[in-house]
Amino acid sequence: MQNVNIKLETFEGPVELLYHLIEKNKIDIYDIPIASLTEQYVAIIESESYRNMDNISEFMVMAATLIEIKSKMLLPVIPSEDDEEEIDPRAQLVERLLEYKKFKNILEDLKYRQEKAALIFYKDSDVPEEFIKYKEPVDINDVLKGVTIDDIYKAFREVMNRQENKVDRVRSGFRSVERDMFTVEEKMDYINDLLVLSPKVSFKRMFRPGSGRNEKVVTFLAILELIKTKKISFSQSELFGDIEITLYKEKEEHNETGRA
Amino acid sequence: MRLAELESVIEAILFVTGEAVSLGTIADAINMDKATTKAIINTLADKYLSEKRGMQIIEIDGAYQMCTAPECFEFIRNLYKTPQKQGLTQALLETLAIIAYKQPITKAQIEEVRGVNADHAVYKLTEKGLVQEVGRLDVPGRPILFGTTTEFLRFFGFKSTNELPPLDEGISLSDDELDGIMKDS
Repeated sequence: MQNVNIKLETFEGPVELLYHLIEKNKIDIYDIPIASLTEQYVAIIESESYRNMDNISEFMVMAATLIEIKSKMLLPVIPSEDDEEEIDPRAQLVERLLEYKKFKNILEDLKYRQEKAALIFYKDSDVPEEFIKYKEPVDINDVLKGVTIDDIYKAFREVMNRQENKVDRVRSGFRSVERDMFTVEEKMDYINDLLVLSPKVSFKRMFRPGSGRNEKVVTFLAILELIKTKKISFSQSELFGDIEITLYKEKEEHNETGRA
Repeated sequence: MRLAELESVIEAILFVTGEAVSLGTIADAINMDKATTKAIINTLADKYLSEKRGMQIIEIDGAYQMCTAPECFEFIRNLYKTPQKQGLTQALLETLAIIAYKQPITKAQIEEVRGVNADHAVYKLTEKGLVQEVGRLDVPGRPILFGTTTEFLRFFGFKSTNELPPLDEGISLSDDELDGIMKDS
């Protein structure tokens, strides 16, 4: 491999650098020798990295891509069952380079055109300020010609509809957020205390007289939680009858496991 | 009004306005239809050209503007003894070309072609008035879409973006063809 002679050129981006290497080495763009190209590419960005730290990451991404392509090419290709043709790992890179080449090709043309166009001078507007600012007075009768009260009503409805559609029906109902006055944990403690004082408590009595909806829900959740964690047990003597709640007893557990 | 008189009216309009004036605006001012107005402007422009006058009339994006003839540039520069105007850098020119051909285009799409962050280039081009925001792409994040301006046309002497030189599509093959070539090699 011949030594890479690095001219102190700065490359704006990885695609530009890659393209430069391909042009310089007269590489066939459809058959890129990835290994030697990567070697040259890395050599340049290593020397370049000291001077240009700003976009070195972009160059590194391309270096990683090149190495990934090479490793893919080294892997044996598993012959696929279907007719689908294997895609060359280089295909995407080639496409990017071709896309870049298209723009590169017309740059000279654009530069030439720009040089020609730069030979022309233009002049600023000389129109007096009051000419430009002047607005023809509007005759209200002219504007409203042919407009009926019905048209105006329709236009008004349309504006109002648009306004109404903007309102979020769910969220507009939210006014305030209230602090949780009761928590499940507190209620669980309360029920526990209640059962310590009197061993058998009716379900109805669990709910403090005068408790609101919020508190009722929390109490019910607390009961469910206590049942689930086997702190309390309950029994009901008849359909729709009162439910009696007691502290959970070891004996019952034996029964339960025995049943299970 | 006779044709020659209309010519002088248009000449005066273009002189005063300085900037590009649309065909419709000129037609309204002289009370003529667009086709006639266009014919008069073209006759006037041809006269400037054939008589090798110091001024010329150019067309930009369906509008007309009066400006100096390029032949006079050297002498105007002598007047001020300034060096030649600096053109765009390679990076700016590349970015501008990508925007011109693929507009409307987002920054991310520009970056895809050059593989390099486009923030600075797009900012510079916007500052120079060659590129502008033309809308938002309807995808998450609603990224800004960029396009070229009338100043861009003037900068390169194009009548419209249709005049951009064709991109060399000959080398761009379809995916199937591309795979075929790679297989052969």
